[in-house]
Amino acid sequence: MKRITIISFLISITLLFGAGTLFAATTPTPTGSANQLEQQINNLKERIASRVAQLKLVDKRGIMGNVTDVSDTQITVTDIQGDPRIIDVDELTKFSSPDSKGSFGISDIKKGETVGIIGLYNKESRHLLARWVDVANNPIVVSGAVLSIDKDNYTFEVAMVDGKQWNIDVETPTKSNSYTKSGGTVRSGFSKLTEGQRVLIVGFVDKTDSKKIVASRITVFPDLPPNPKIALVKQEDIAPVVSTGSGKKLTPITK
Amino acid sequence: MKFEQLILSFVAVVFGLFVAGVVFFIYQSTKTVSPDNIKTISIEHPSPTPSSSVPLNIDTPNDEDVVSSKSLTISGKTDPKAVVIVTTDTVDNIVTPTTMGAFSLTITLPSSENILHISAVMPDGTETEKTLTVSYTTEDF
Repeated sequence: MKRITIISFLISITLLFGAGTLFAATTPTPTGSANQLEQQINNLKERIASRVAQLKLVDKRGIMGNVTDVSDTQITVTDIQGDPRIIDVDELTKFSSPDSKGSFGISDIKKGETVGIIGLYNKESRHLLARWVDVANNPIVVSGAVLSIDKDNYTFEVAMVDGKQWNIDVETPTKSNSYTKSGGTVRSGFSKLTEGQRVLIVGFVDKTDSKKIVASRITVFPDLPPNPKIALVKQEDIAPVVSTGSGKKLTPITK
Repeated sequence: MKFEQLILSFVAVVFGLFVAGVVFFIYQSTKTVSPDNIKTISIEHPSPTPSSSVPLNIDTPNDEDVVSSKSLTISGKTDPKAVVIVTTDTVDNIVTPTTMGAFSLTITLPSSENILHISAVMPDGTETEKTLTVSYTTEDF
């Protein structure tokens, strides 16, 4: 009986010891040196992460936009997507303008001008640190449908998707092309222009008439119809909205 | 005698397992996790992109890219039936995509700051237009 008790006791002790060993294996207790090593690894990880973030924080970018505000150290522009952008300027920033003959600086930049900026974009501050600021004089691109043609004055009207209408002035230097899928791009002329045609115009807004574009080049697309969203109705043909007096407004039916 | 030995051995094993279980339970219930080891995982729901009538994805270049070569390759994907028109300040480039809808063309940038108008026009006239700014400089900064 004594032997049996001893055997049972030994088995119990073995099992308890086994459970303890199992614990030690599943939940290791960090010793002092292991703790130190872990801390060192964490510090290294943090330093690497910080350096990577620093490298990724800044990248080279170039934007174009209309100047909305200018100060001694900053230019605010509205970019081509319509978003406001802040441009930081420092002593390394170079300024230029095609119209400037002498020195040109930030004080020469005026509201409403279009500028092109190349610099370093900070993703955190979302500011662009300008390295070059150039006053740009880029042409505008208009895509729409021919609304009417004035063959005597070499002008035509174009309607766009947003409802805007432009008077296009065709001059002697204006290049006219026509594109078809089968024939590609070929030279064309003002006389071949027809109403309702899809047209692409590149030109400059007339300094005396803000609704007129002096065309540099015109491309017509006889194969492609104009955008179905374009309303081919002249602005002067759109009758003003009439009020009935009872609050209801009557609008004329247009096609 | 042997039967008694077996019974006692069995009882000892059960007792040992019970004690081990109790110890394990006590350990688990008293275990605490430091806040540093707690990681929060949040799943962001993707915002739906507005549907456009004509698909037009530009692979290269990206908007606001600064390049060091005047020669620029524009590539992307659209509807195979569409016509792709790329307009710069000085020239219009018109290409038709492959049967898979892929298109690629190389243009020469006319100035240091350039606006590229890229349109995909379907045979019914519907279109999608994207406008990108691409700047050119050989200067290092």
